[in-house]
Parts: sequence; structure tokens; C-alpha cells
Amino acid sequence: MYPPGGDAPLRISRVTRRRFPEPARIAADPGHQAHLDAYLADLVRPYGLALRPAPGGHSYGEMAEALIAETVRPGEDVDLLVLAFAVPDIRPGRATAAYLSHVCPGRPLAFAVCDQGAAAAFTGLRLIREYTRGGECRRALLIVVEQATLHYDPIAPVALPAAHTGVALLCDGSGSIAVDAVGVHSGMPPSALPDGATLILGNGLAPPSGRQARVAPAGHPYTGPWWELAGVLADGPAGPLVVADYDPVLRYSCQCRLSLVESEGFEGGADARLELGAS
Amino acid sequence: MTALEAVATYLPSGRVPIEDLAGQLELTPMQVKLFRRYHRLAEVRREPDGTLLDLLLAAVANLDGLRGREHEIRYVLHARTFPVVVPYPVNPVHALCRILGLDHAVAFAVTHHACATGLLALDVAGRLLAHDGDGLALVLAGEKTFTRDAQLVPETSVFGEGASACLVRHAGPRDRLLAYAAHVRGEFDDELSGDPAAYQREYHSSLADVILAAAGKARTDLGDVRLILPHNVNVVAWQRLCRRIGYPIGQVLLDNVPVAGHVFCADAFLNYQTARERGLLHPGDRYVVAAAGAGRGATFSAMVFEH
Amino acid sequence: MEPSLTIHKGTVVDSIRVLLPRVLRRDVPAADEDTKLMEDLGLSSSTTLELMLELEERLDIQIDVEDIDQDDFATVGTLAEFVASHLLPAE
Repeated sequence: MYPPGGDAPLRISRVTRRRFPEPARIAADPGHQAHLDAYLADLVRPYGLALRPAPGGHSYGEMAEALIAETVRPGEDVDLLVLAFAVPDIRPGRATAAYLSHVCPGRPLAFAVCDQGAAAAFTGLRLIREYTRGGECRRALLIVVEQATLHYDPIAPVALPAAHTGVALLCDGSGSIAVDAVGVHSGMPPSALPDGATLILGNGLAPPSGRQARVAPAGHPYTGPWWELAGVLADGPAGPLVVADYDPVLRYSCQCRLSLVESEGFEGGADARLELGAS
Repeated sequence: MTALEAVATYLPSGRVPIEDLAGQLELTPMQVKLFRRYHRLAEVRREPDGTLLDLLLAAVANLDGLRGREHEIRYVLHARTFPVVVPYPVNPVHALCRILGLDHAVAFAVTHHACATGLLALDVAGRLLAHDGDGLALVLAGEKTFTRDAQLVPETSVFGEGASACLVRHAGPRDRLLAYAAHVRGEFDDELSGDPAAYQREYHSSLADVILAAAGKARTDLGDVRLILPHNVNVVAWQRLCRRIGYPIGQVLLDNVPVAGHVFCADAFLNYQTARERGLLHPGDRYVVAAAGAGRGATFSAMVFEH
Repeated sequence: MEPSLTIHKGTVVDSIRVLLPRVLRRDVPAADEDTKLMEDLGLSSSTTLELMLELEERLDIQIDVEDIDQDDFATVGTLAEFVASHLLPAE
């Protein structure tokens, strides 16, 4: 069913990053709050956890919809949309990716990848790689999101994001950044990272001694490396890049190798550095 | 070509007649009668003292095809109707991997296609394996009826607890996936103001369309489809749908509806197992798996397999 | 299966009119045979099935719903016609 050996190039043509300092619009809706309270009470009851009423929190539907508006131009029909998240948002029962399909040009096949910590975004990109390989999917959008508010005491200490943040990567065959490889492996952190490339590291990895690296800002356990990638691309990358991260709880080593296709530069600038609120 | 290597299921032994759920679900006697009479719902399974991890482990325990082949598992996927079912960072699918010695595998959940996510998970697993060239994926489905939304689909169905475990491989000899069609209909999202009855009205045509789309992709006439393995929701809806597409209702396997209810993304696998047990599939037979997510964003999906 | 019981369509229409406020849990303006169940009265596919169950209880009949179609739910009259012609033998 899948064209064998297909190798349509996967390229990133646009990256958008954004912080969302205000809570979700729906957070103010009392009907929503009542339903969420009941859902969360049922969620934590079997585990004996305490609810922690907290105002705010964000909805990935709202965040991703804003990212789509900034990343995808009208007429740029998207065939596939993958939403990657780890921390639940304040719409835990919603088929958010289905809604995003409705608002995204092209009404793409859309779904979410979760329960994989920092590796979910890399898995999302890997899946985009597989879906675009045969050529039947020409343009894809990866949206990585995290939000900062948990409404119950977690069962174990967990690194929560410091802010509601999202990054969107538009992928097609004609962008100027090639995705040469992307993978997720179970096990120990990598003993070495590829030479000759700019390293962009997530919160789970420290720069190897003697090497320079762009390091994701602290408090961005899931969007961090992608946020940093957006910054690197906006500055104008000089050569190959490696985006890497490690999830210490789930023990996944993640890597994405990128290279420049054209030296005219990436379509970054304003598009790639759209930030709202304090950085 | 993605193929199903083995399928196993688990249904808890606790049987709860839907009358006993009327209080919890705030159903009137008339609504209960409606469910029994027209939707053929009679009882669902519940395992009050068990967790989601318990359900999934029980299904895998029944998967004979896995024994001795754990090292071949490259991916473990959980197909989820409800995106968030345990308090973060509890992670049943990774706990399962640790317990079963599958730490080497890459595990994650796929979601947001509601009850049609099981089909998505098969497609995702197949694409990953197609590139790897070898190895197996373990696709899990099933959830707890932990909250009202996961107990009742108003006017449509009652959820039951249970689980399934499916081994998927690339290039297998049977139960080969010939086509997959998924129509994501985000316009039915509950935050969009609109006609709430529109989903009900469009349900039959949308499900019919996706079944025909999958059959078309597989270059298969409906007359050559031996069996439809449905999601266990709403027998009366399937009767109407069959009339619409001209397919005999007798070839839609609905026998699990009265004994299990709607088991989230696991319905297709439960129905597949029943079909095998009854010898309803012969080598070369083509069959359709179809599902539709209801309510908060709807996805209609269908797959054509060859046994 | 030949129904061994017959019922007049008019009887069914009258019963539908009586039962509508109960099924809809509100007052209902006068309905006649041409009144559209969904568009005019706001019945959903589920409340229509409830109406069928209420008809069975009120008229002491059993309705064979296997062949029911969207068109049968169009108006009070079409539903009454369906009911009158799809009775199951009494048990």
C-alpha cells in the first residue's frame, strides 16, 4: 500500500514560535470549568491525588490555531498535521487535532502523538517523514505544544513547562532546510553527537565538553529545542544542524539532522521569530 | 503492505446490565428501553478495581503470537479515544513496556480520532515498519469508563471496558491492509457553534462515504466484501447505513454490541476475533473495518483488509 | 411477516399528537399529518425512536423497525403510515 522506496525530500520551509502569556479564552467559561472539574476529579480519584484548583491554563486548540494562522498561508494546502504534546491541556477530552484540521488550509489528515515526553515531537517529525515519503502527502505541519498549568498534584515530581509555548514547522518538498534524518531510540543518552554540525539541544542534554551548542531555554521541556531551532533559522544557519534531546524519565534519545539546501537562506526573519509576551 | 500478525482481546468478567447504569448515567427508563430495543445494547463489562494498565496487560497476556518474539517489537502504540485518561505523568503504555521487557521499543499514544483512532494506529505502525523493513509493532486499544464522557455517548451508545492487543508487521501473508480512508471532520467540534443535530444527520452519509472511499482505493466492489467489522455503536444506524450503500446487514458483525457495548478503539479487534472464532473469514476474503468518532470532533474511517 | 393485527393510520396520527409533548418534554403546537418531525418539531433521531416506543406502549403494538428509513421520519403522516404497515404479530 505504501510506495516502496519512495524518497520524496522532506524539507522545512517555515518555522513559527510563540509564547501565550494569557490563559485560554475558554478558561473563563464557567460551563467549561464545571465540566473540567468533574473530568479531573474522575481522572485523579483512582490514584488518590489531590486536585489543585488554579486559574488559567491553556488549550492546545487555541494555541495551535494561532500558530497555524501565522505559519500556513491561504492556499498553501496542508495534507498532514501532527500535534505533539506531553502535558495535558485544559481540554483533556477534546479531539483537538480534528478541530485543527478544520481550521487549517487543506483540511489535512490530523492526529496527535502524546505520552512520549520530549520524544513526541521527534516521533511526529518521523511520522511526517514516513507519510511524505511516497509523495502522496506533499505538505505537512508539525505543531509542538506545552502548557504550564497542572490542576492536580502529580504522582511523581515532574518537570512542568514555565510558560505556554508552541512551535510550528511547515514541511514540504521545496523548503530550504532538508531533514536528512530523524529518529527516536530507547536507552541511554547518546555518548556522542555528530561532528561538524551546530548542536541545538533540548533541556535533557548538556553540551558535550569542548563543543559549542545552542541550548534550549530552561523551563521548556518539550518545545525547547524547536524554539531554539526557530531562532537559529531566523539568524541564518551557516551549515548542518543537529537538534537533539533526551527524555530522562522515559529514556528516549532523540535526534534530527538538518542541512541547508540553498544558501539564499531560510524563510525566517519575521516568520520565525514571532514572540508575544516576555521571553 | 501492513499486515495483522495476531490479535488478542480481553473483556472483564464483570457484566453490568444497562439498567444498572441508569442512575449513574442519568438515563430515564424510556432511554434505557431505547438503548436495548434499537441499539441492541444490553450489558457492558466493568472492572472497578482494575486500572488501564491492568486492561492492557490482560489483552497482551492473551496474545500468544507475542511469546518469544518480544525482541522483534520495534513500536508499541496505544490508540486512545480519550486523549487524557490518567493523571500526568502516569504513563500506562510505558509501564507496560517495562513490565513486559519491551524497554527497547519506542512507545507512544496516538489520539484525536476518537473511536476511529484504532485504524489510525494500524496505519501509523505500518508506515513506521515499512521503512524499517522488519520488526513488529504492538498496537493496543481499550480504556476505562472513568468519567461520564467515557461512559455514555448521549442518545447513541454506552462504553464498556475492555482491551485489545494486535501485532502488526510489514509484508505479512494475511490480513493485509489494502486501503485506508480517514475523513477528519473537525467542523463537529463542540466549541464551534452550529447545528448540534448536524452530526446525527450526516453520520450515515459520512460513514457510507468513507467506506466507499476505502473500497474504491482497494479497487473492491462492496459485493466482494465478505464482512464489515463495525465499531459497536448503534445497531439501528448500521441498518440504515447498509440500506444506503446496498450492503447486507447480515454481513455486519454486530453480535458483540449486546455483550460488550462500545469498547472505545477496541471494537474492531473484538469483532475480528469473533469473526475468526466463527470461521467467517477464508483466505482471500476481503473485509472492511469501519469506525466513526462521535461528538467532540468527528473522524470517519474505514480500512479494507484481505484475509 | 404478515401482521396479524391492523391499525388505522388515523389512530396512529392521533396518538402521535398526544405523545409529542411527552417525548419533547414541552408544549407542542397543534400538529397535523404534514407537520415535519425534525424541521418543525425539533425531534432528533433519538427522540423519534422514543416516540416509537411510546406508541408501542400506548397502542399495545409492536413495530418492526428493521426497514425504517430517514424518509419515514419526515412527517407525522409518513411515520404513522410506516407504523400502520409495519406491525409485528402480538406476542
